Formats: sequence, structure tokens, C-alpha cells
Amino acid sequence: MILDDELRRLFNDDRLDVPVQPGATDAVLAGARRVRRRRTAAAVGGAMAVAVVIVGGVAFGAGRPESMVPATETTAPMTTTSQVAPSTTTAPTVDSTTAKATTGTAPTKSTGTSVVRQTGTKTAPPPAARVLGPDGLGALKLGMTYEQAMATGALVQDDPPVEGCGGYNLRSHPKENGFSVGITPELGVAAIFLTPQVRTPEGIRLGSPVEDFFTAYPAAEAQRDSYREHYQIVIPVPGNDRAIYHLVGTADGKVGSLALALRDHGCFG
Amino acid sequence: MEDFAEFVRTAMPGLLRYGHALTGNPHDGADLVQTVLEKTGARWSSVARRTGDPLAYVRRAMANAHVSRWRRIRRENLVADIPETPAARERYAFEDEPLWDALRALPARQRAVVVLRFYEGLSEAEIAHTLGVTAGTVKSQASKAMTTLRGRLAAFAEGRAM
Repeated sequence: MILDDELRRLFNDDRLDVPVQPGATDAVLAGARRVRRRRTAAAVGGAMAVAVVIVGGVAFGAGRPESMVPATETTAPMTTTSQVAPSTTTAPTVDSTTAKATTGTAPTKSTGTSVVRQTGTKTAPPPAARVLGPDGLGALKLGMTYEQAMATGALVQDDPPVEGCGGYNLRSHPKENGFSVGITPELGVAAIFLTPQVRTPEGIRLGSPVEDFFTAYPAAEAQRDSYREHYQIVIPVPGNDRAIYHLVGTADGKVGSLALALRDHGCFG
Repeated sequence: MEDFAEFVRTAMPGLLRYGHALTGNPHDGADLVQTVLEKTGARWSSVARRTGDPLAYVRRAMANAHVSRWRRIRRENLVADIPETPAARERYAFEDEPLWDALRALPARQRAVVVLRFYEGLSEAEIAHTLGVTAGTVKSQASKAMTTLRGRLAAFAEGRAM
């Protein structure tokens, strides 16, 4: 695809670089302290982050010194959230190198950083487990080796991960995106994602209001402000101190994605 | 907090680049980086402890914040019929780059999908997890975006104004 290549080329371009202003780190640290003070002080309401400048008066255009960027004080309006967005599903598995900065390669389906395998096998599926947590999904448990996991029959048969986190399909949910379970060579089954047929022991499903998550998991309450800003909550799993629930909310306040994962799973951000 | 300072120092160049790609504009990108980092820093110990991968966390937060901000601005402008002009179109590095212009003109979510895929190299499912949408939504948004980009590039190639 020519357009694909063009896009990769563009995103690899040095012209995307933005010079960092000396003192940028200090500005962010000061800003973070301000935000924290405001959080501590403010009763309710969106904190308006007053941003100090981190980008210097430097030309962005390579070789175009005339395009100076004026140092501006900006008000960053990103706190209140009440938007509309579709909800539900998703079960990705990313290997731990996802956070790389730039790259010339960009896998769209099944190459590169995310090891995704989809092997269509036509075996009668075992009864699908319906509850995710605290230690797994039915017979499929966190920490199982690849062999043990495959032996449960819950997964579509596939090769073991060679490096990083391999993405696998649940037989009960083979089509949606094929990333429902992450297995690493070190940890074994490291992450299992909520699929449409499944709920947590406390009744949370994809598409549940995130408010229900707060109710079901009191540990989440401490992250309410953080959730409002970042749409993510990570809590210890009740009854399994080796594991976490990592929730990603939709913009309209529903559970968009929820993973049961070992701490330090390395399967997604 | 020293830990966070080190994180900021190390991550800043990459994040600014990413913000630039995500927003289509170095100023907005820098705003985005700064705002998200400040909020992250305000809960650094929790973020570092809980997420395991703060950089991925920050990048995801940036993508979401960007998409949300765009929606908010759009809604606030509903009362006035203001044409959508790229604010402050100072000449800069990507001026006169048809693909860049076409990207800038995409709605924020579609743009985010394109950036996550071709800049970050994420799969559809990873993008879905990042943006908190379904894989189907990612697919349709990506498809729309690519169609639009192709159309604009074709129009440009034929000498028609974009």
C-alpha cells in the first residue's frame, strides 16, 4: 500500500521533532505540584491546568528560522470529560516494546510488535467460562504455562510466544479481534481480557457504567480523579494480590476494555 | 519525584514528537504533552507503581485527551457558525505537504487511529484498547480515514484545490 508507506515515511520525518525548551522538566514538575495542590484543595470540579511553556522559541521547520514559535502561556482545557463515544470490547495484547518512540514499521494486522496469531480450528468448543477473576477465566488461570493454557481447551491452538507477549484467541470468542489472552515466556498466561460474554465476579461487563466499577471495587475510588483525566483505572484484584484489573473507559463513561493481568504482565501499557 | 523528573527528561523529546503527530500542530502537541505530564506527575507514585509502563500510560492518556478535547471544542462552537480553520497557520515545516494537510483535516479520532497505527505501529486491537473503543470502530474509522486521505491526495495530484 503506497499510502501506508507514505504515512510511515511522514511519521518518521525529522520535521516532526519539536525542540525541548531548557527548563521543560522543571516546568512540568512545577505544574505537577500545582495540579496536586489543586486536587488537594479543590472540593469538586475540573482542575484547570495552567500550563507553563515547555517548548522554546525555536523554529520547528528545519532550516526555517523565520517560523519562530512565540513563548505563550497557555491554558490547557482537557479536564472536563463528557463526550460521546462507542463502548465495549477490545482485547489487545501488546508486547512490552509498544512504548517505543518512532519506528519505520507499523504492523496493521499480525506482524511486528504485537504478536498475534489466529489459527482457525474447528473443534467443538468446551463450555465457555463466564467469569473473569480473581485468578483466571474458568479453567484458564493466570500464570499457567503456554502448555497448560492450551491444555485447558479454552484457547485456539497456536504457537507459544517466542519473545514478549503473544496474543491468543479464546475459543469462545475467536472472531472479534483475537487478542483476548496474553501469554509470555516468563509469566505464562499474563493477561486475560473481558469479552462480551464474560463478567467479573462483581458483575462488571463490557459496556457497564464505569460508575458500577467504582461501586463494585472500592479500591477504584481513590482513582476517580485520575480516571476522569486518563480514562484508566488499575486496581488490585480482590482475592488475588498477584493480579490487577486494568480498566479503560470510553469517553461516555462505560467499560471499554478490562483486563485481568498479573502485575508486570508486559502485555499492554 | 526525582524519578518522575528523570522520566520527563527522557520521555520529553519522543512525547513532543508524538504530540505533534497526534494533533497536527506542534503547539497543541506541546500543550497536550505538558498537561498530561503534569497530571501524571501529580500522581506519579501511583502511576509508576500501578501501570508498570508509565510511557505507554502517558501516550494513551494523550491520545484520549486529544480526542476529548477536540470533541469539547467542537461542542462549544456549535452556537456559532465558525468555519473550521486550522488555528494560527504559521508557516512551518510541513507547510505544503499534501499528506500532512490531509491528515490535519481529519477528525481527531480518525487522525488518532492513523497515528496510533502508523506512528506507533499498534494493531487494531491495541488501538481499540488505547482509545477505549471497539475493534470494529477502529476498523471503520481507519477505513474512513484512509479513504479520505486517498481522495484528498488524488485531488491534489489532479491539481484540484484541497
